[in-house]
Amino acid sequence: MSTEISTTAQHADQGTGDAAQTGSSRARRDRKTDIEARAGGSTAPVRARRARATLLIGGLAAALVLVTVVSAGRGQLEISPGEVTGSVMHRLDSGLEWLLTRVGITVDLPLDIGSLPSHAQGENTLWLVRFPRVVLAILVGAALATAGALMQGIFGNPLAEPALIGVSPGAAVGASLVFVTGASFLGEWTAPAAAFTTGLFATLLVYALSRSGGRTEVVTLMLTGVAVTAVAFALVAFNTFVANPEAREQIVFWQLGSLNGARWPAVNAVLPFVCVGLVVAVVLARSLDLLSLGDKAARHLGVNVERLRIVAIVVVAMLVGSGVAFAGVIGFVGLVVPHLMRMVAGPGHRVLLPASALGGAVLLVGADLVARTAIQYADLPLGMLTALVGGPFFFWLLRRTRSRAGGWA
Amino acid sequence: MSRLLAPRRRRMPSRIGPGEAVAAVRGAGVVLGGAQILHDVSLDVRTSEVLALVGPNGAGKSTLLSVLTGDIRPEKGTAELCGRATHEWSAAESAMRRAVLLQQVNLSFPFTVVEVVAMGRAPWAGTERENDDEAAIAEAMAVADVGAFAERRFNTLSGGERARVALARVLAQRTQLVLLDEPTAALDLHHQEMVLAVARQRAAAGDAVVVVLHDLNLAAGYADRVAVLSRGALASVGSASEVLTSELLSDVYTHDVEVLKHPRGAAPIILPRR
Amino acid sequence: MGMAPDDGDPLRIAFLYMRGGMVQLLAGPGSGADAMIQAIGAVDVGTDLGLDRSFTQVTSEALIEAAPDVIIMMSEGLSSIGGADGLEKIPGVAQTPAGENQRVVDMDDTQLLSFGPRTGQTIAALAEAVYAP
Repeated sequence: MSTEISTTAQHADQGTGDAAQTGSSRARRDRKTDIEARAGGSTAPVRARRARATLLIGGLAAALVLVTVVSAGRGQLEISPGEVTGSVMHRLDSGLEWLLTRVGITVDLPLDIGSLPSHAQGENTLWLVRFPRVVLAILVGAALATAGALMQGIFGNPLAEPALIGVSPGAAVGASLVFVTGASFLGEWTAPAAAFTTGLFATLLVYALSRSGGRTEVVTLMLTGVAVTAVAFALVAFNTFVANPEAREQIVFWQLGSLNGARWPAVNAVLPFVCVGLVVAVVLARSLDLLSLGDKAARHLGVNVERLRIVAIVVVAMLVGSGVAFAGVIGFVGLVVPHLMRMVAGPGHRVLLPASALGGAVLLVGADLVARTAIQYADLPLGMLTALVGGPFFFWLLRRTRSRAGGWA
Repeated sequence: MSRLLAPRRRRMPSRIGPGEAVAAVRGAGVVLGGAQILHDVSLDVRTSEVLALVGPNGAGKSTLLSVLTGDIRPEKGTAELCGRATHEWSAAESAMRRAVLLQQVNLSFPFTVVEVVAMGRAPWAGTERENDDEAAIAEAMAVADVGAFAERRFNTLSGGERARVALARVLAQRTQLVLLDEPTAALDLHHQEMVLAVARQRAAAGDAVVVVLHDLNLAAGYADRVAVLSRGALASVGSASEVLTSELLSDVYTHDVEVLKHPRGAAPIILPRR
Repeated sequence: MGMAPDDGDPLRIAFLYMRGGMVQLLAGPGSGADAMIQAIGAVDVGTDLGLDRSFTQVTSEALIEAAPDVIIMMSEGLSSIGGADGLEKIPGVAQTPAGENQRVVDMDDTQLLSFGPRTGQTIAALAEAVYAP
C-alpha cells in the first residue's frame, strides 16, 4: 500500500506520463492534473487582486488631489478650485523656469494656465495660510496611518496603535514640560523638538524594558507599553497640575491636536522624517507579511525578526513623533485607516502601507477642512474630530467584520 | 539599518549528494528553565532519507527539532547544517537550506491560501531561483491538495485544511532539508498518508526529511530510519524493524506494546496491549 | 469718549490671546477687552465678526477677515510666540493691516484684564499706545 502511494507521488512530482502506471495510480494522476489546473487557475484572481490594488492606490491618489484642491479653496475667503489649480500651475511654471534659468536654459514653459485668485488676499491666503496647513495635514495623516499599519504588522495584531508603545504619551510629557517650564532654548522649535525626543525615548524605553534574553514577546511589549503610558500620563497630569493657567491651556490644547500653527518651516521639518519613514516602511513590507505567520515561522523563512522589529519601532516613533510634534495628539487615524485599507486591498503590506499613507492623508485633510470651517471663524480641535468620527466607525467595522468573516479583517 | 536595506551577500546553497549528512547534532545538551530537556544526543540527518522522531510526550522530540532548525542553540555539543555550525548561517541563509513546519500554524491577518503558500518563496527573493516561484507554488499546492480552496482566506479554513496549506508553504520553499513537527496531528487518514507519501517523494528526489510523529504505524510504514527519544536521550536509532520492537517501545512508553507482522506487507503493525 | 481722532473710520482692534503656536484665542463680547477697546473709541473686531463667546479659538483666516488695524496682546503671550518677529510669522497675522504696518501693542498681563482702581490709567495708556505710536 505504502509503496504504491510513494511511487505514484513520485510520478506526480516529476509530472511525466508513464505508460506502465497501474490503473489506480493513473486515476490519482488524473485527479492531480485537475488539482493542478485549479491551482494554476489562481493567476486570474491574482491579476484581479493586482488590478484592485492599482485601482485603490490610483483612486486614493485622485481623492487626495481632489480633497486638497477643495480644502485649499474653502474657508473664510472662498477660492474656486479653478483658481486654486491656476495658482499652483503659475507657481510651478515660474519655479521650473527659474530652475532652468539656473542651469542656463531660458524658456517660457506653457504651464501658467488657469486664472489666479481674483481676491486681493487670495494668493497670500493660499500660499501663506492654507497650503502649509493642508500639506502638513497630508504629511501628518500619512505618517500616522503608516505608523499604524506598521505597528499592526509587527505586533500581528489589528488592535495595535502607535500610542500603545508610548510614542504619543511620551511626546506629551516633553511638550507639557516645555510649556510648564517655559523653556525656549530652541526658540519656537522647543516644544516640537522636546515632544519628538521624549516620544522616541519612551518608545525605546518600552522596547528595552520588554526585551529579555535577546527576544521580545509581543504581549510583554504591549503590557510594558501600558505601564510606560500610565507613567507618562501621570507626568503630564503633574505638569498640568503645577502649570500656571496659561501653560495649562497650552497643555490642554496640545493634547486636543490642531494644525492651526502650520507654517512652511514646520512642513519642512516634518517632510524628511515622513519621507524616510515611508520609504523604510515599504522596504519592510515583505518581511511584515511573513511576520504574520508568527515570529518563529518568519525566522524560518529568513526574516531577522528582532532587527525587523526594532527598525519598525524606530520608524513608527519617527513618523508619529514628527507628526505630533507640530500637530499635537491626533488619535484613531493610525487605527482606522489601515483597517479600512485592509478590508479593500487585503492584508499584504506592499499595498497596505502606501494605501494607508494615502488614506491617512485624505482623512486628515478632510478632517482639518471640517475643523476650520464647520463653525465660522472657530478652529475646532482636530484630535477631537478624528476620535469622534473614528470611534463609532471603528466599532461599526468590528461588528461588520465579526458578522461576516468571523474574525479580523 | 543600512544592513537591512542592503543585506550582505547571501551564500547560496549547493546540493548535497545522496546519503550524505545535511544536518547533524553531536553530543547536544539543552537546558530550558532549569530542566534538562536534551541530554547528549547525537544524530545525523541524511539526504534521500525520511527520518522519524518518535517518543512519548516530553521526550524532547520538538526540542531536538528546534536544535536542528537553529531555534535553540545547545549549551553542550554542536549542531550543524550543511557543513557549518547552525548558528553561523544568517536567518536568510538558513531559510535557503531548511524549511520548517511547526505544530502550531497561526496567521495574524487574513491572507489567502495562495498568498500563504507564496510566502514559502520569500528566501529566494532577489536570487535567480526567484524564477521558479510560480512553478514551485503551483506544484506545492497540488501536492498538498489545497488547490480547491486556493483563493479562500486562511482563517476561514478548518484545522486540517490549514495544516495542509502550511505544508504547501514548506514544500514551496524547496530546500534540501525539510523538518516537519507533527504534520499529521490535525489530518484525516487519507491526508495523513498523503503527507508521508510527500515526505517519501522528497526523499526519493534527494532531499532529507525529518518528521516528528506520534503514530508509530506511520513511522514504521514510511521512515527509512526511526529515532526513538526517551527522557531527553536517544533510546535507539535504526530502521523501523530494528528499532520498533515490543521490548523497547514497552519500556519507553511505560505501556505494553505489541508489534505484529503485517500479513501482506513489510511494515510491522504496532498496537498498545489493552 | 473723545479719545479717537475725528478723521475717518474708527480703528479696528483685535485682542489676541496666544500661547505658543496652538492657543490662538480672539476676544469677543464679554471678554473685558471689548469694553476697553470700545472705551477708547475703537471697534472690537471679535464682537464685530459676531463671535458669541468671550474667547474663541479662531482660524488664521478669521483674523484676515477681521482685518484689525491694531493687535493687542499680553506681554507674556507675545513673548511665548517669539515677540513681534514671531507674531509676523503666524499665518494670518501678516495679512492683516496690523501685521502689514507692524502695529502690535503689548501690555502687562496683570493690568490688561483687571478692572479696578487702575482701569482709568490702563485705558489712558492703551489710548496713547494706539493713537500716538
